[in-house]
Amino acid sequence: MSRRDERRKKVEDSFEEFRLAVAAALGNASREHRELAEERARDMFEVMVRGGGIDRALDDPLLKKALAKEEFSSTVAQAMLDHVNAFRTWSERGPDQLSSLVREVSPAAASWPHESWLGDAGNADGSSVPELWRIGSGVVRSAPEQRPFPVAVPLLDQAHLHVSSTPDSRHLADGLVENLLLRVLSYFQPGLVHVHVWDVNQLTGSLPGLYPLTRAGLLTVHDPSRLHEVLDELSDHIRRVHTSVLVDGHLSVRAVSGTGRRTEPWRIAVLFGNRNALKEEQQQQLQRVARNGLACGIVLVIVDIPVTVNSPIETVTLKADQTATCTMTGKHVTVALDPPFPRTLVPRACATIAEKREERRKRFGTFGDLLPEHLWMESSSAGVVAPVGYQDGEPVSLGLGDTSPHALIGGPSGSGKTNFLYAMIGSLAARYSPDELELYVLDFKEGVSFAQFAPGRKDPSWLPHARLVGVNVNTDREFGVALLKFLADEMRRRADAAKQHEVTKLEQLRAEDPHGRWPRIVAVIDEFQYLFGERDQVTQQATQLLEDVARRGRSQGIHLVLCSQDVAGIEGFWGKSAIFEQFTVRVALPKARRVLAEPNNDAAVELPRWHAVVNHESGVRHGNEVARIPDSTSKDTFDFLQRELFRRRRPELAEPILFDGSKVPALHGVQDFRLLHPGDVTPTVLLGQVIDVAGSAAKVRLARTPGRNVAVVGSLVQDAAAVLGAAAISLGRQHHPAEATFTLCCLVDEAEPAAQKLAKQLNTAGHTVDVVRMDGIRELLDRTAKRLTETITGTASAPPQPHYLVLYAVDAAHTLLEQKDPATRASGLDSLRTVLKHGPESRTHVLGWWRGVQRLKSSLPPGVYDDIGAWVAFDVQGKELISFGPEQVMAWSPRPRRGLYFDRFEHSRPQVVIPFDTGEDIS
Amino acid sequence: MNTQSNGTCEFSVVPLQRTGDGHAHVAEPETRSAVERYKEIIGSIGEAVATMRAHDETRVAELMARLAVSQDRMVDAIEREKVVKLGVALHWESAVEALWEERWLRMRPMPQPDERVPARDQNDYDAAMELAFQALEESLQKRSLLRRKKE
Repeated sequence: MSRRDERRKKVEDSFEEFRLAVAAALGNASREHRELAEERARDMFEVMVRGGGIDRALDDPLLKKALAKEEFSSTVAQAMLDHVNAFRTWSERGPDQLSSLVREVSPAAASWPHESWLGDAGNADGSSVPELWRIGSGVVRSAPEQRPFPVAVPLLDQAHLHVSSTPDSRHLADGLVENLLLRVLSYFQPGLVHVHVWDVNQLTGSLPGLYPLTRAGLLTVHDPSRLHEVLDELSDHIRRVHTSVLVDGHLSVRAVSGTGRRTEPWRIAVLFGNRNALKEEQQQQLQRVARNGLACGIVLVIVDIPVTVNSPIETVTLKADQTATCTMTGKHVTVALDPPFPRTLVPRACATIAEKREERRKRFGTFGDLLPEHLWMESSSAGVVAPVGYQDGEPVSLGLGDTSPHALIGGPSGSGKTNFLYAMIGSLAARYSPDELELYVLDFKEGVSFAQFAPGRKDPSWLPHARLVGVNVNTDREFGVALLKFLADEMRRRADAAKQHEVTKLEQLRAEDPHGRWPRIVAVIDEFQYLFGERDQVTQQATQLLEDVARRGRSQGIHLVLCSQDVAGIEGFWGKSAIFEQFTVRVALPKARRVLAEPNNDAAVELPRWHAVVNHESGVRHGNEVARIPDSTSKDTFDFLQRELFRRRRPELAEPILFDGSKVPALHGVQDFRLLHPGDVTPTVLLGQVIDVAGSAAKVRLARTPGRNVAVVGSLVQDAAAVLGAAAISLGRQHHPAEATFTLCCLVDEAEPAAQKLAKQLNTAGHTVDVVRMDGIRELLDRTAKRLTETITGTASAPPQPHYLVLYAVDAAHTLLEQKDPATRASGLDSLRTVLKHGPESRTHVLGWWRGVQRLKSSLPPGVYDDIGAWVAFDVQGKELISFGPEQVMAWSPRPRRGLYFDRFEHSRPQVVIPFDTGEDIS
Repeated sequence: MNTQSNGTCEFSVVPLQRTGDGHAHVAEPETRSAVERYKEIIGSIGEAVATMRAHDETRVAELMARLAVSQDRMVDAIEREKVVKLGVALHWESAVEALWEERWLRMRPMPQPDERVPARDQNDYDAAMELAFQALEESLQKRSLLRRKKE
């Protein structure tokens, strides 16, 4: 190699060395730079990932590419590992624990898929209540593994539900509410859950699938403009539960029911709003309902109404993106609501529930169901209480006692008042023996028939509790007064007895006097407004007595049950607030008005047939209990019970006194007649039956004193003949045969049959009877007057014997009698006046019939009427009678088959009498 | 009801207004309501999230500190690279100039950085380059001296 070549090679080598050194220097610097940059990129990426959390980073589209890069894989892996570690406890157990918890506390419809229960009516009786109700499933967005778990909310007795949605997610809210309601409704026996729906936006259309429930009364849809009514109803319910259910210190309905059957149904109120706040007043009322409702079985489901409540409430928030969160699951859980149950199945399921409910209603609620297992086992010491009907298969009771002393029942014609009374009386009579309960029943009109309780021709049985049965009382308002008077007297008797034992109440008296017989008395007066029908003495007396009994009866165990079909009847009562206030028990039958405390309580107006509102709170709305009243008047209901009770009665128990205004009392059946016997020096005349509880006779004692004559005034022979006949026959019973003389003077033809009949009856009894007609009257009177004059003047040879002059139509003989004897200048009238004036002292008494008041006056000395001591007036006006009696006679106006009777020796005021039937007519 | 920080509620079956002071409810595991139990299980999610976030926060703080440090190193590295490139450029220019006369030499472009070289102090590589440059100059020296003598 040449030197040149040698040099060239050296240069080439050096240059190559230099180039390598340059590459190395550049490489070292650039690698250091690059590696540092990469390290920083990783750190920055990790900051980004961990700053928001790996859970969010994995979902972040901006980070998607970076996450896939190889160089970040270890960073991502480490973050994910940390994530998994942090969630280990939840991931391993959480979803499973929640699933099993929900499975455990929310069986059947409470959480299971709809396929297994939708369409079947529930059979849970409320003794145990699912603690949670499924609404959907949840996933934890931030968890490494998104395993769904059931999301459920507490509801009945535990918490209200608040649902908040956006316009885009409102349909989810509707679905949520419908699903939830279906779960609850399908879980329990139909009837245990009632739903109220109020939607500010629509009259109908909310929850359409649930509409079949309305016909069974399980769903009530309220008017959009009347939220206050819904809230009032709920408030009333709370008050009612507090006063009637939460007694004995129980804090909630649940505590009352314990582990037993739920007796008080739940009420779920669904309120759909429009995201606007409620009026302040409604807001406050809603808060009150929320605060007190849970303990009383009320649950609120509030949708899109901004509200804050100071009571347990869970909230479900539905977002526009159709996801949801829930306070049960917190902010980390995304809730996917269960889809709405199939459209076609929902109405069908509700129809099934409604049908079952109706079936159940019918099953529980016959007259037989009202009766206890064992008859006559209850004590009425503290009061009487008995179921009268059913509400959702639960008995609704009516109680009469110290706190609810009297009842007022209202129901127009055809509303089932008779049926209600029969149910009430039957239920009471089955529980309390006749020694515990006595009944006094009275109906003024034919509307209600209490005749069933008295022995009848077809059915000889009678209700052993009934002590008095008054039917067809009609215009005999005096009988109502008589009953009240009897009750007032009995009340006084009991008060006196209590006083002797130094106690005040019947309950205490019974404790002090355990062997005494102190039954509670329930007096039922139907169409009681007739009592106050006119402005007269009767109304005045009735008002006084009613007030007395109403006020003081409670502590003596005397209870009034007043019924009326007529608004006017109640209206008339309103004015008498002192009386009215005592009637704390109100029963309103369909369409009844004013019985309850209207206008706030019009519950009865829309009531279906066979139902009644029973209210123990003076008719205030919250006291309302709607009851279905079983058929108690059909064959084999009450009549069957009565026969059974009749069979069990004590043999010595007397029949009830029957007062039937449409029947003529029989003289021979009257106790007072049966007690008459010969031997009394002062015989008693029975004129008719007075209107009293005992069915006593109107009596006139014919003492040997002036004025003891009896006049009957009226135009009808039938009335007069009945009074004269009864009078003569009753006198005949008090004399031995032939002891007394009866002279019957028949002065008009139409009286002939009556006179003949009487003559025959007296003859049969062995008495001497003379029958005289117009041609003999003058002679009879002159002869009698002469004999009397002799007796008075002491020229008579024999002591006076009883002589009764029964004169039919005295006034018919006036013209004849007015003729004067040419010799003595004395007229027959003078003789009549002598007989009237002096007869009674000599045991000669006139029982006479005059066909008018003026005609009677004509028979008497002018202006001197005291020879007629007792009289019975029929078809004459009261003012005509003023000369013969006290001013009260003014009020008398004639009515068929009733007379006004007054005895100036005995009475301060006149009485109404019913003429007797004196026996068989002459054939 | 007590609203907790996570927005959930604590429940009792008895509404609030009915629980008096004297009836404070002592929770026994078996008597707790399903709601309480449910919420307790749900509570572990919150705990997990909190644990995770806390861990992340610690790690992020560490990283931020590291980044602050590496930021300075990065500045140095960039600066250093700049200086190296400048030095290389100067040497290369000198070398090209020196080799200009050597027409026989097939000139080759400046090499790309060779990052495969072992990581060493940059000064070592700078010094090596300087030595290589001097060696190159030396290899060209003789001719130059002769030429200088001629001149």
